[in-house]
Amino acid sequence: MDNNFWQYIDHLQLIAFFSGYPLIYAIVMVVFENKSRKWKIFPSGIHTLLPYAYALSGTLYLGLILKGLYPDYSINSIRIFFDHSLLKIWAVFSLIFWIPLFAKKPVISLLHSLPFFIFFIKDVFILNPTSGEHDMIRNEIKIYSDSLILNLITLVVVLILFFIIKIVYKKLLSH
Amino acid sequence: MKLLSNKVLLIALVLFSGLGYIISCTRDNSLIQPIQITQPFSPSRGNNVHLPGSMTTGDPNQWKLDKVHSSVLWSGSYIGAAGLLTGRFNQFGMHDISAVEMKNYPGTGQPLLDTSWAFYESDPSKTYFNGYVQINTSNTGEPGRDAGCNISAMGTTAIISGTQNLNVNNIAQIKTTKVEFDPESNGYIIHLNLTWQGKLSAPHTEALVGKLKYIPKATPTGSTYSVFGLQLTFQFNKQAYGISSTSIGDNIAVECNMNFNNQ
Repeated sequence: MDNNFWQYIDHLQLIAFFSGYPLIYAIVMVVFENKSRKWKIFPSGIHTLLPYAYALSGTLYLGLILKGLYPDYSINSIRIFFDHSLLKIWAVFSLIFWIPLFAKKPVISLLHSLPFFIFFIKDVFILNPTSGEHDMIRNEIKIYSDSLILNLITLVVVLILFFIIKIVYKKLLSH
Repeated sequence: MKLLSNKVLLIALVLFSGLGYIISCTRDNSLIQPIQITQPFSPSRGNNVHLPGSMTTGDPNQWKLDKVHSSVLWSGSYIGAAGLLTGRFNQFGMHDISAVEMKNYPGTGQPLLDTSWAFYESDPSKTYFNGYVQINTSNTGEPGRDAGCNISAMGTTAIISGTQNLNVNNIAQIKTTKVEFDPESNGYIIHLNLTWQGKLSAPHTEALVGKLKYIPKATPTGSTYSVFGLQLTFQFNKQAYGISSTSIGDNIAVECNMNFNNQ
């Protein structure tokens, strides 16, 4: 953990948006993978929508970045924002899961999100719980809980969106 | 997921997350220490004592007011509603002017010794100040105003070249009545009386409270003498002295920056 306060805030933002995804992914996979065939609405399985939910989280993160950069969207300003932070650049790459080619294999989205989970876990285990860093651990755990909720919501939103698209598409075909 | 069973993945993630939650709760039973947002001020004053004596030149134990490098500044809100209108007094001193001393003096410098003060850094009960300004030397940088409407508005008379006017209608005096430590800084709280005739028929005295800041004694680089400074700030209401000018608000702030040396 760097001592720089703003780097720490950036770090927390990444945890908030992406660290909860692996657990949501694993739960969905275990609960719905075998039963997916029985779903009439999503015959290919809910788990196939996971990359899109992940991409939606990434889109929200991008929105936060753009809000932070407002009103200076110059190349220099963007360069300063991403300077020395590969993790932030990596986070923006989550948007590629909007492309069906990349969304085809949900496991890729899991692999993409794992660095954020690993960084979160690393913090929890490296920080000293008996010193003043205990509050930092507690804070990161709270943010991780928020991340679980966020990723659950993005999955539900994507489910609803796909459901609506499917109905509209069916109606258009019937006409 | 072919490389890894989803169940194993889920168990691993739940395990790690769960451990994180457990670690974050390990000290829930320990006493919560209240966070003190503002620390109580801890003063760091020295024991300097500065006295004017008889202001004998060359005596390092006798401190002299360095008028050339000192100032008495005033400011008030222009027409009571806009930005600050500011000025300074060109002639001032630190002397308790008695009734018999209130007269015109020939010369260009202050005729009275600046000896009516004492400063004890660690014992404010012994600290006291007397000071005065010549009202007609108020300088706002606009000669037409300073030597014009300002004179009548302040109830005084115009400057006579080569004369120091210490008459009762041209001086405003301050006299400290009590000096105490400021509990929130290394400075001091000053209780003082401001006596000024203004537009009234006789001098009027108001009890005021101000703040004093001490700039500790130091020897300038390459110098053989030492210096120290005192900065007094206070405010008063000009209406109390019969000044009803609409050019400036009632509340007037005064800042006295006094520098001393022991040359």
